[in-house]
Amino acid sequence: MAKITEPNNLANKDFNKLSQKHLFELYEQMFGEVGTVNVLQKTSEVVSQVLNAERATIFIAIKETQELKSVAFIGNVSQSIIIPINNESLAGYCAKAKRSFVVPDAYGDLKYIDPGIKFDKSWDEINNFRTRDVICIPAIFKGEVMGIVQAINSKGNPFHESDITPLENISQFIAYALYHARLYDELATLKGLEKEKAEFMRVLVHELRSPVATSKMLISTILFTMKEDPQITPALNKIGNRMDQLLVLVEDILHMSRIKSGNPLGDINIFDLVVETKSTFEKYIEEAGAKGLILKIELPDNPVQVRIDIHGYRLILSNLISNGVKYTSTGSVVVSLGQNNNWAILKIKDTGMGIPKNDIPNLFTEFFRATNARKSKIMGTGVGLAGVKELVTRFGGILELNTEENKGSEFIVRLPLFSK
Amino acid sequence: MNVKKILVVDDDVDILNAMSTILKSEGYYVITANNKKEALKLAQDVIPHLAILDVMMTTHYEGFELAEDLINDPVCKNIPILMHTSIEVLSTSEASVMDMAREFRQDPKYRELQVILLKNIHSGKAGIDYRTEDGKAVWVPVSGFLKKPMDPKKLIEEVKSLISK
Repeated sequence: MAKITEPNNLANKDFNKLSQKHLFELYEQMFGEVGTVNVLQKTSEVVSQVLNAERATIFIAIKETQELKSVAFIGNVSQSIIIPINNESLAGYCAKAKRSFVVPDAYGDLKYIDPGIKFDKSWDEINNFRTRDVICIPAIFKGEVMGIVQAINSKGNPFHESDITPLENISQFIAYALYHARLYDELATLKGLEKEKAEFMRVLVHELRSPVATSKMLISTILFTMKEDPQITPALNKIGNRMDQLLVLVEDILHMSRIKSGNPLGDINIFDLVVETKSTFEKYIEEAGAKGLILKIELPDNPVQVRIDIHGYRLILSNLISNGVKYTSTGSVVVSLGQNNNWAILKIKDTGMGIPKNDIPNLFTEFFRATNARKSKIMGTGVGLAGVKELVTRFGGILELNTEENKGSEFIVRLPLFSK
Repeated sequence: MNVKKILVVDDDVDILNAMSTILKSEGYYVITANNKKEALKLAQDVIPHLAILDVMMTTHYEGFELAEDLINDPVCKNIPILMHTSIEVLSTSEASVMDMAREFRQDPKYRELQVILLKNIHSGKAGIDYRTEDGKAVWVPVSGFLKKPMDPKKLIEEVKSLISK
C-alpha cells in the first residue's frame, strides 16, 4: 500500500484539509481494485489509516439476503463476517436506519441512539478484542445503502460527532467503489455461468448424439446387407430418416449454443461472398431438383468483399436456402447477391407457403415455428432463423423480410462491405 | 494371400459388428480390437492393409495415441489409418497440412481447441493436431477421416481408395 503523505493523526481533524494529492491517493487505492474482497480490504486499510483507528471494517450490503458482508484480515488470514441488517449490531442498525452515528463506548448505554439498538460482542469475544469508540457511516449510492463504513478505537482522541460529515464525504466514494465491486462480481459470475452452460450443452449434445448416431449406423448396415423387402425396407428407411432429423436437431441446438456463446464459429477474415455463396448454393441443387423446384443463383461479376466469420456466413446462407427449399412445394427459390453503396445484399426469394402476418414478430425467437409450418408436417426445429438473426446482427448487418402467406417469402440480408 | 486385412478398433461392440458385417460382405478379412493395447499387438502380428480407429475409448484420445504408436512402430508405420470420428474436419488447400495446423494454432479462436482435424482438399493428405492432458500439442498424420454416423457406401469408398494406394 502506498504511504499516505499527510500526518496520520486525523481523527477529530478537518477532513477538508486533506490535500488534493492525498485524496487522489485514497481514490486510487479504493478504485484500483476489482472484486468485492479486494475492494473491502483496500478501503478498510484506507479508512483505518485516514482515521488513525485500530480497526476499520467496510461491509458490503447484500440486497437479496438483507445481510452485511465483510472480510476481516488478521495478519494474512481472512475471516468472513456476515451480519443481518437489523438492530442486533451497530453496523446492522446503521444500514437499516441509513443513519450515521458515533458511539463513545460500545459497552455503554446506546439507548440515546435508538432504544432497540444492541452491540454485538461476539467478534470481540472470539478475537479477544475490546471495542471502545465506534463511528458508523452508511455508504449510499443512488439512495441505496451499498455498505457500511465502520471504524473502531481511535488511536488519538475518541471519535466525535464532528467526524461524521467529512467521513460521509469519503463514504460516498466508498459507495461507488462498492457498487463497482458488486457489478464486477456479478459479471464474473455471469461469465462463469455462461461457460458452464456452454460446457453443459457440449456434453449434452455429445451424449445425445452418440447413441442416435450408432443406431443410425446400425440401420444403414442392415439396409446395406439385407435383401430388399417390400415391407421392411421402407420402414427401415423411415427410421433412418427420423434419426437423421434427430441428428440435425441436435446439431442445430449445438450451433445455436455456439452462436449464443459469442465465440467465433470459424475464420473471421475478409471473404469474397461470391465464391462462398456459390459453393453453399451448390449443396442444395440436388435436394431442390428432387422436389422439382427451380433453384437459381444470380451473382455479380465482381467480388463482394465482407469481413465476416466465414462459418457464420455459411450458416446464414444455408439456413435461408434450406428453409426456402423446405417450405416451397412448387415454383422456385432464387438466391441473388449484389452490392449497393456500402452494403452487400443477399436475397433469398421463394414461392413457398409464406409466413402468416401474426407470426412475423416471433419468427426470430428460438424454437418458434410459424403456424402454417407446424401444420405442414415439415420437420423443423425453429432454431435456424433465430441463429440467422443473431449472426446478421453480430456482423453489423440488417435482416429484412417480405412475405405473404401462400405466395412466398423473400429474406434480405445486408452486410457492411469491407472498405480499405 | 490376396485377401486384404482390415483392423477395426472401437470400444463399442455394436460399431465393431456393423463395420465387420459391411467389410466382410465386400470380401475383406476383418480383425477387431477394443482398446489401444490389444490393437497394437494385433497390428504387429497381422500387419493389416488398413486400420480404422475410433477416437474416444477408455481414455479421451486413445485413438490418436494408437495412431501415434502405429506410426512410430517400425513394423506398423506404413499401415494407412482411417480415423472414425464425429469431430468436424477442417479443410485446407495449403500443401502442408501440418504447417496449416500449426497456423490454426496461432489463431486465438482455434488455440483453445483440444483437437484440430485437417484435410487437404486436393491431395487428401490429413492429420490431427491435438493437445494432451499435460498441454503438449501433438501432430499425428493419418490417411483420412470417416464421419460418424458411418455410411456403408462411404466406408467402402474410403477403404477401397486407401487400400489401392
